[in-house]
Amino acid sequence: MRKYVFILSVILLLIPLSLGIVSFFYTPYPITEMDIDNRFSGISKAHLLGTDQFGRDLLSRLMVASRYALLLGTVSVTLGLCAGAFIGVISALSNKWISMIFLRFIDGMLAFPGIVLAMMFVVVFGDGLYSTLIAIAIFMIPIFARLTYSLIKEQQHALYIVAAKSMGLSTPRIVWRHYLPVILPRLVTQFSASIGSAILIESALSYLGLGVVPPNASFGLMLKEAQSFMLSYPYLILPSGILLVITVLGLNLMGDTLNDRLMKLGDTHD
Amino acid sequence: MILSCEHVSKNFKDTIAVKDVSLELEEAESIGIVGESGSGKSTLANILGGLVRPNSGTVYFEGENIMDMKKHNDLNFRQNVQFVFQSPKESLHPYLKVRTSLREPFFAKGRPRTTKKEMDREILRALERVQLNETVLDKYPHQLSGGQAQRISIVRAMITDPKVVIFDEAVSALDILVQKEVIEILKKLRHNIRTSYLFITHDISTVKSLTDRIIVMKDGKIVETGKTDDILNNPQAPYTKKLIASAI
Repeated sequence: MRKYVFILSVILLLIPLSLGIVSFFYTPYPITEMDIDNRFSGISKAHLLGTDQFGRDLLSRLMVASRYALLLGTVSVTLGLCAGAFIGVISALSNKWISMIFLRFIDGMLAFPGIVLAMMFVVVFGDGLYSTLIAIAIFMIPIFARLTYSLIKEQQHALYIVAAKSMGLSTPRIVWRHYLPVILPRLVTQFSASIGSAILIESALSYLGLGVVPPNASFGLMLKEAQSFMLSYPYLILPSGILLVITVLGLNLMGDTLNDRLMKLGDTHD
Repeated sequence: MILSCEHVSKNFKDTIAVKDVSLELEEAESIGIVGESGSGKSTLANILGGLVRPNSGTVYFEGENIMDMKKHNDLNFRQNVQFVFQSPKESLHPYLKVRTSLREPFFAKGRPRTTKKEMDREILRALERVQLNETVLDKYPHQLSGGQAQRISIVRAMITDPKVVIFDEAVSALDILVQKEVIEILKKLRHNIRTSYLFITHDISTVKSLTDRIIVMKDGKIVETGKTDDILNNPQAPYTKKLIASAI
């Protein structure tokens, strides 16, 4: 069963991934090109998914939106993972006071709902793609820091770690060679699931007008633009809505199956 | 004198684990620290090996207080005092193959760089000494038997020729036959290498052929100490007599 779920997640993810990759080289129309004569054209040979209120090709915009969503999700979560894991390691291995300062800071950040925190940072940094990316990365830091901290604390008294210390290995080597192989599966699982969250936050920010700004394309922005015409032209909302669901569902399913698979691997090694 | 401690005490909250213990380990000497569970022998071993800080007292390595050591000497201490733990499989990294685990001691802080070829040559030589062949190198700890895993742990502790090896209940978790095998290997190693041994065990019979002296501990304190033959043949303290009787 797990195998089929994994295959399903790969198939789901291949849709936005292939659209996003192809968009680097080719889109049927430039995403900002307006064709006033063909507003709300509906599905046609010339526009496979129809056009929006400005006559812009929805398929082209959807392809670019997929690219932004996946890139922004992956890059921001990677940044959050690196910074969070570093803070988590420092907190877990430092003395009581340094550890406490880091942990209270992390707790403080975790106390804010994600979207509120991201909105706060976007307001500080200004809107746009890079601000959204940094805001989401900052939002991810405490999640990975907390996870890394607890995973390291869980292993700290394991005999193989005590053995590594007794051998006289340096702390960076112990972290890299001894902690990392054990905590990596959990971090990978969290990474995969967090990309889904990051894409949702980006969409929410763009929907609120704080993320990707027009005339660029993003799932949230397309949804927001389509919302005004939802009753007269309901097809406008479907492509970005469905693709957003497919992307996030694919990432979450992949996270779940990776978690099961990697945990099982861990069991066989114990 | 290679390793010693003076008036060492250690408490864990309200529990006194070690109380005012002093001992000396000479070069190439082998000492057994014997006592029942909770007698403080493992805590004492961890203090001597620098893994636990005592509440009071001092530990000396080659005459220098290990708590005051400057970086260079601290590295020297860390490299020269090695451990073999009770649970061999748990002391080996579950995700690393034996070959990788055995290369790790060569990466200790302050050690001169060694090429992988040199490491592997040393590893093969050491494996031969504990009667293992190179097929174990590509296995994970869970694929080894208890005896194989403990011999790998011994190789890991001794591969860089440390001056002191602390065996913390190193044969207790093994079945009788494997225990005998490992003890025979340790006896042979003792004859060939000038390393000092510190054996921590609750079973006095396992150290009788391995040690020059025995220290008997109870409730964190030393109750009797003396040459192995004297302790075994003519124990003075009632507790020692009980320990010997229980081992027979």
